[in-house]
Amino acid sequence: MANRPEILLIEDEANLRHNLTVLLESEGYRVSCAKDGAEGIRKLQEASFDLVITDVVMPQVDGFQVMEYLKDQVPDAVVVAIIA
Amino acid sequence: VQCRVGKRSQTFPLIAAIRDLGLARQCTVPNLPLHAFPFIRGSLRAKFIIVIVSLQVALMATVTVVVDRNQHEAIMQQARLRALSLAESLATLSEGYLLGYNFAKLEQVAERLTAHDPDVVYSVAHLHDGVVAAYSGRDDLQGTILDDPISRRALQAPAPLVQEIVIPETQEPGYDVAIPVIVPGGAKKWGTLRLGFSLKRAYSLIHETRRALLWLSLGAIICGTSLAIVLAMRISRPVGDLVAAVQELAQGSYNRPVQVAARDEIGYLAHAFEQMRISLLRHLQCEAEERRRLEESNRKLRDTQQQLIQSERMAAIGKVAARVAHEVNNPLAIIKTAVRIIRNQSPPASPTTSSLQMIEEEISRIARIIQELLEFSRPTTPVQELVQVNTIIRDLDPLLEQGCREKHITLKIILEPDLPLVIISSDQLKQVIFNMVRNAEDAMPQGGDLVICTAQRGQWVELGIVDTGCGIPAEHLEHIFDPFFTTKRRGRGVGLGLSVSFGIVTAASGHIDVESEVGKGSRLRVRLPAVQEAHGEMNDG
Repeated sequence: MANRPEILLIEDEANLRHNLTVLLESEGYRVSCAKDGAEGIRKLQEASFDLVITDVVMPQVDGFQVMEYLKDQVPDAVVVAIIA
Repeated sequence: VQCRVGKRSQTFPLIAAIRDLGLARQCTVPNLPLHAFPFIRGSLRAKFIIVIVSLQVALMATVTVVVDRNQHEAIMQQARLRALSLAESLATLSEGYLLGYNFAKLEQVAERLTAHDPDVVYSVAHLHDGVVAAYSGRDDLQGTILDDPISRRALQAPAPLVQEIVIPETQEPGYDVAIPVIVPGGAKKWGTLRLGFSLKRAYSLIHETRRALLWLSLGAIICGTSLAIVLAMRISRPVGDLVAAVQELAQGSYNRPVQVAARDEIGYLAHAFEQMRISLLRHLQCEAEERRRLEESNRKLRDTQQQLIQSERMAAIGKVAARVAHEVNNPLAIIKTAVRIIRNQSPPASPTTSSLQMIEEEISRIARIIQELLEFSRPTTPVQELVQVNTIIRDLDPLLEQGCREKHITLKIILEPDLPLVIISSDQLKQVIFNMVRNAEDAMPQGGDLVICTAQRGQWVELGIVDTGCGIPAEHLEHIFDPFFTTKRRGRGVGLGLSVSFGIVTAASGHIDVESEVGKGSRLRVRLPAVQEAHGEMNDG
């Protein structure tokens, strides 16, 4: 199971976060969730992920700030941004 | 010449002119309609003739009377003198015989004189006591004394006496001339010689002269009247012409010149009218030109205002649309993912799966609409570049051709060579053309003709798209650029195509307008400002 790619999903909308998690897991990925940008960055500091899926428009710390962080700290990270 | 009439200050120059001439005193100016002029014209002529003829008749009558009287007096005077001179001759011839009492000779002289001169009616020789010594043709009276008053006055006359008488035999007027015979050197009267002088010839001469005079007067009056009529015609004709011309002018035909063939005051008046007509015409033309310019700028102003309102409205709608799109997108994403989860868990060929697929498709449609909305409300800032419109159309040609062929539409592309370049994003221009062509295709579900043409119109490059479709009703025309305005069937469009095109063209400083007739088709016209410096077809094969 450990060789399955792990995705970090940052999404403030709980329902969407849940649905996406279910869908991605059904495709065989491991999914770690964060409910906003701040939590996402914290998780990124703790572990590394194969893919980061982030919403752009979020309260407080938004998707752009997450990407700024990644650009600085994990330049080779692969990011998918979700916009409305 | 102008006259101000009443409160209306209306001018009636002609009437004033006639009034000044003293010819139309009785015409009441304020209520005078123009059709009253023929009457006045006739009256003018008649008056002129009447005045001339009256003057002439009066003159001729006076002349006739004066000449007649003078002639009468002259003839009578002459007759009197002749009578006197005949009596003197009688006295001279008879004096000797009277003194010698030679009655036979006296008789002879009297008879001869009477026979010799037709005017002499009788000649009588009286002795000093009044006894008749000789009486021409009346031997029976010899030796008698005549007792009538004429004879008595004649016998008593101390000097030659002329008396007016009526000749008894013929009842004609005449003179009785008595010459007393006085012995030379003495005071004794020896007798009286009398002569009866008929005035018949004098009177007939007077009558003859009078008749001739009357005929002459009549002739003169006839000649004068004819002359007056001709003259009146000549005077009134130019007036009539002038009135007709002015009447026409008054009725609004300003293009017909006022021309009168007269070199007098009427000619001068006509000339003045002509000048007035010319300046009036010039004034009217200026006014028409001014009005046209005013209407033109008014129209431009209205168009600009309309465009302004249009863009204001679109900006407002755009903001609302962006907000709505954003708010709708999130729930939509949640629904869509939820549906996908359920579908993943359902058996592939079950009715539930197909229903779920339907839901997903519909959600995709909503998403597409929202995508359009976002495109509309958040215009990207594409690269503005120098673009040859003809090239863009040629690039699109195969795609358009294919679409049209499927819909049984004949596509015709007419491109003007040497079209100037325009500044716009080529992708956006393609989008505009696509949108408009799609609209035209939708307007022709049964097929038809579609023409795409380009042309240079002054400072503009014009792109026209003409279809033979169903047309746009007038009440829809002003809304066709509004976002979400559509008359298409559900699912065929959301009404943003033309709105987006409008935004693109307006951003490139151009404008779109549309002409349409229901049942015949529509013509959409895009105008973009031509770039003057870089002339010629760039990248144009």
